[in-house]
Amino acid sequence: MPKLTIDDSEVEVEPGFTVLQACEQAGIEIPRFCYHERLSIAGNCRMCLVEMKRSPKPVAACAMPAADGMVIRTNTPAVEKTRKAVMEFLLINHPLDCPICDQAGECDLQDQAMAYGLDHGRYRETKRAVKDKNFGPLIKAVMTRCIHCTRCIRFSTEIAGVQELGATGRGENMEVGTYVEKALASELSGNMIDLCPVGALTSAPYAFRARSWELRKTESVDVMDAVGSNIRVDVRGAEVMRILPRLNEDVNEDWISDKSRFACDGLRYQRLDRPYLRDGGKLRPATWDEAFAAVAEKVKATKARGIAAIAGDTADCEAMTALKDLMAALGSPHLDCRQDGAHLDASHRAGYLFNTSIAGIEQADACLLIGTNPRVEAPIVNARLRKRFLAGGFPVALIGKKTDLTFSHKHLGTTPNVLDKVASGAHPFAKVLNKAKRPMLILGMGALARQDGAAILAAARKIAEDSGMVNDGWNGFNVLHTAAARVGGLDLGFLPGKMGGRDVAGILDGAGMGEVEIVYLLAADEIDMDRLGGAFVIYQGHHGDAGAGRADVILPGGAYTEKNATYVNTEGRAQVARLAAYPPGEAREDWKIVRALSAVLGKPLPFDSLQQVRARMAEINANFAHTGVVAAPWGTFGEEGRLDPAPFASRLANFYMTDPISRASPTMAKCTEAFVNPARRRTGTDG
Amino acid sequence: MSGETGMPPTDFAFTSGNKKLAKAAVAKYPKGRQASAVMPLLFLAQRQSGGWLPTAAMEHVAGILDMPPIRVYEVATFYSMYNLGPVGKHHVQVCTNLSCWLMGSDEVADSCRKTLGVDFGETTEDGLFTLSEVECLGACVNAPMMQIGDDYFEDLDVTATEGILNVLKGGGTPKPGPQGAREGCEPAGGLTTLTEKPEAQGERSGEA
Amino acid sequence: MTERVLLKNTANPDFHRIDACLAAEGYQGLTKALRKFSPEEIIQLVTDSKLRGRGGAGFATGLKWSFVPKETERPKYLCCNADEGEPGTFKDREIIEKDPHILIEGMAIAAYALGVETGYIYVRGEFDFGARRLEEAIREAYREGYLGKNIRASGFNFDLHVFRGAGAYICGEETALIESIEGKRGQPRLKPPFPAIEGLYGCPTVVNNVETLACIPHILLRGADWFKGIGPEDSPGTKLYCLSGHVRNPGVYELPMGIALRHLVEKHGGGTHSGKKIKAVIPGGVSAPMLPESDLDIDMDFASLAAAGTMLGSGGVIVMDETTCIVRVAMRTIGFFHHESCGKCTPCRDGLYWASKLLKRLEAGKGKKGDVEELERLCGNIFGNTFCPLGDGAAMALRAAIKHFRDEFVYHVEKGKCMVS
Repeated sequence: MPKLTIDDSEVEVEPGFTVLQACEQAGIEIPRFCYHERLSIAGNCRMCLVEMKRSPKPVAACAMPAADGMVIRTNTPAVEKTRKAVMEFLLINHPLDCPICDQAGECDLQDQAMAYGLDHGRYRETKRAVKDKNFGPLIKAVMTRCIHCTRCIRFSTEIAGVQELGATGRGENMEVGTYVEKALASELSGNMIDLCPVGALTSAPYAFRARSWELRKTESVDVMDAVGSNIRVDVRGAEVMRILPRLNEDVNEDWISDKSRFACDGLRYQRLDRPYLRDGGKLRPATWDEAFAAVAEKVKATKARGIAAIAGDTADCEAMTALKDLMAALGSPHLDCRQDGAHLDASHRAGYLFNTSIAGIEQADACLLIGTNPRVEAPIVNARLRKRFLAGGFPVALIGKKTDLTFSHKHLGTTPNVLDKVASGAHPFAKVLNKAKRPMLILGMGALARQDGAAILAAARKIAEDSGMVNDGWNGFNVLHTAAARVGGLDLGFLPGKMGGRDVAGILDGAGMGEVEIVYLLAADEIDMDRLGGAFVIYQGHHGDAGAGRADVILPGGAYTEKNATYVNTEGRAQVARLAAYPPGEAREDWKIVRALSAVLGKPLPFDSLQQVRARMAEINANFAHTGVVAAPWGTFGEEGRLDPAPFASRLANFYMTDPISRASPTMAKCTEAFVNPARRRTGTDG
Repeated sequence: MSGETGMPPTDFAFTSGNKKLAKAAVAKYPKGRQASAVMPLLFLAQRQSGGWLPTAAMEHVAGILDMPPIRVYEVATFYSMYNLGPVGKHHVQVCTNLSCWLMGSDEVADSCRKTLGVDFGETTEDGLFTLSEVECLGACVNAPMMQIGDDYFEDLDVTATEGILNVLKGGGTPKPGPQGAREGCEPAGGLTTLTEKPEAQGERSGEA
Repeated sequence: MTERVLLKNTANPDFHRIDACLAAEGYQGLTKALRKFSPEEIIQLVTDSKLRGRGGAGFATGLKWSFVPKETERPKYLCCNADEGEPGTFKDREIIEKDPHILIEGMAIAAYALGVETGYIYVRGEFDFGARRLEEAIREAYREGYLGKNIRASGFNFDLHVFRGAGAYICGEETALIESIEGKRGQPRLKPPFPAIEGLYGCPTVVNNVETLACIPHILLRGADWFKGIGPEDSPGTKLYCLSGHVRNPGVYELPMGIALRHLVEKHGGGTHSGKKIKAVIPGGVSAPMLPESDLDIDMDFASLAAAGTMLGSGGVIVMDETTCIVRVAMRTIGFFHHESCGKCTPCRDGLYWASKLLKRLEAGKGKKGDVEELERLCGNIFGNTFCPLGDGAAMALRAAIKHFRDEFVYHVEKGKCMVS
């Protein structure tokens, strides 16, 4: 371990550390613009220059490897002068338009100018100006503000794996851009906004909407996919202004997907802000009492086995717990949380989790993807796979729809026949998996949400077992969920009861035949509403989407930013979303609605506080008692059977619109237009 | 990127001759390092497109080398010998760097302006000449000098400059190289260093 | 001692052809190397000769070669830096056009010593004639068995290719040159890792200047002692000096290292072409700080010039007579560096932009009070803070111009016009 002296104190650091990292470890902050710990080192901004003994010139701390016996000084007048010099140079061609810049208040350049900037400008010549560029509906580019740190270029090239952004021109004429006008098509593009140390790249939907210091910041988790990215929700008044990533090394590192970031404007539209009742075929506003009374009247008139409940993809664990207990109290076994009909088997937790863990991907040395496109189903997981790929020695193969994953992989085929071959060991990739020390597979909903899903699950289990994916301290079997609610629902047993409980298909069939008379949809919008027949539909949720359109009674709940709620991600990690803004109008937190309804139905649930609900959750499943992930014991799951030769289909047709919030989002609509159904070819042949 | 004259081409493909040259260029580099051939291929594309690089040509090169187009744009915009807009048939590039300036590049430049009727950065109306100011071309010994197309014209003065440009105007081919009596960059006063006597270290400073 | 070595054959107009070379001592150095020396012995020989790189920095060639790992599974590369572009420099072009085989031979010997099987000659794009001459010479060398597989039945293989640049001075910086060969923008790379460990395609790579490599066959044939016997002890050998500007006899002169600058300019160059007094001389290309006439009694070697606050650089000597406006010289010089700055680092990109704008304004007679001090401050803020030496060179050149001719700058500020013209 190299030992070096920084500002007269000795520091011992990990081998491979840079001087900048060593300084950080010593508690000395080094100013920087181009350096970012997750990107390759550029060394171009020169803000981090420090003095090094025996070097005639200052050295870039970000790029200099820390070595034994080095003597570094960061607090001399010469270093101070250098920082001031670099700062002045950066500012001569910067427009200094902070009053009209969205970055103001959270701008690295602004902050560091406070420390190293002059109180007046000495520059008397004309400034350089750069024509604004059109980077598409998400990123507003004011390139005159660019300080050429190249973080965005490195991010898109290295992390996102999309080679569209570059530096054109030379010297004074160097510009960051795409050369030909082009919207940046990446599911992770918004992260460039966070990385940009100045106001060159800012959020387009957020443009001129708020100042950073006006915002109330709440730490929370995202529900746009099953990753459970850690986020920060920034609110002004009652309105969510923006969503930013929050560091979690185990889950999303510093990143979030564009849907997680930008779909939040959907929270402003199509909201259910009061109860509704269907009256003469039309929905009319109602009071909570009227709505509950209507439900109570219908329930009273219905046999217990005529009632069913479906939990949707963004339902929270507290609400599911309450509804599950209410269904039990009413005596109905018909409940399910698998809207897509995925053949997930809850008998063994390892059978439905992403056991390797997202961070664990970095330890894997071979990967088989089955019926999944992680790039759209979980861009953060895909970024981790890419990160692992770039480190080398990571063969990846895909069985499913051919696609660009941003890293190279073998496409083995589209049908389960190939899976069969791998399972039987006849396929060459079986050897790759066998040879690997820590192989992994990822099973997507495209493989499980089909008739033969249980057989595919069993085949995948066989591959995992035969290729040694499950051994001491390593579990390479992974299910990649797409619904934020799914693992929580499975953990809570929001599943058909033993006594002939119906699953989603059974509920829908029952409703069609009149055997199921009441269907309680807890934020469930992804089922075929036409199959509900004449059933009385209670819809509890936050958006006027498919479920509300079919409902007889609407109970307005809160979106994920409007409640204190637990979600379990695809790894089995229970995390808490926090109330950042109150639900609009008369809408309420979801578990409270179910609790209130239970009293009206004469089956009062035994909890009155969030604490009590959570105690009940931990009683159902001990995994709710802690926050990390615990290795799930292996078991036998799935059902061996014949595989249907039909090719695996992708579950997500449009990454940008997958749930009621993103469907209500104007920004996601713009993305859909720009990236999914481009009216005209996106790439102009010239600019 | 549209040029000054008409619409830029939207299609580009190497001629069969250039395809062969491109293949030979790629073969100079190790397998998987075909991106190394991007600069020679851009030169071929520029020559084929009449002296400049339409976006379509860059994309064609990107396709051949399996490079993301942006990486090709980056290269094409970095190096000054790639022209991103149309240029005249004769690209007249006058060096105005130090040695050339000391020896009269101002007069050479003025002579070009007068003879061609255009300033730096402009193209004559007939599309025959584009006049550019360039940095040192490594021929300071024969200053002042200019490059037209691939050829260097050196040891210029006003008369020589006018003469060269007029030959080109008339469709002829002027003689490249030094316009005076010298061959290449041999010393102007003839050779001085083969004839000398050996010197000792100390002598030289004294002699000077 | 003043016999021509590198240029001894350039007077022969046919010497670019291999038959003319072979009729003299062409490729005998390579033949001797392959027959009589082990690779280690050649590196030792070059180290013993004390040959220092002729590209500008003057780094010891033998030492540079010794950094290349001997045992490695990766291929190694040799690149010749023929991206001659420092204003005032035109020596490599002379070798390339008139005696290309000496370069090819030097590279083949170096490749043998380093265990390299592939080499590239990075020729600046504008040297069309030179590049074609080199390509023709390479074809001849393959034909005669001095390149390719199993050279002279020694079992040594060496493939050599010409790579043509496309107009970027910065590609003369070795890591930018490597980037350029990889098909990228010619922007310098971080060091460490140094090219000897991770260079072209991430493999061990040596980059040497044309003139440096052209010395190698002569050292092989005549020994380290012979080479060491020419010029000063710590930087021996002959040097190609380029004389241009206001000089009667501009040209490339091959003379021993350490010759006095005044002797070079007055005796060989014949003084100024106009007969007017010399005002200043730039000794090593425009990035080398200029010397006023009073400082011309200095030896042209790495150490002496460094002691005087300037440098030998590429050996591009530019003479300026008393009619020269130093403010315009400074403007043109900084204009050059501004144009050639790659844009990567802040002090070079924005500092030279600033300095260039200010100098243009000053030269045009629109100077303001404080401009000269501002320029000095800019030099201080650029120097030492840039990613590569390009910005340093610019700052040093400007600083020297102001130091020696401050009154001319002040005159521009105060009178709004030039002092001399």
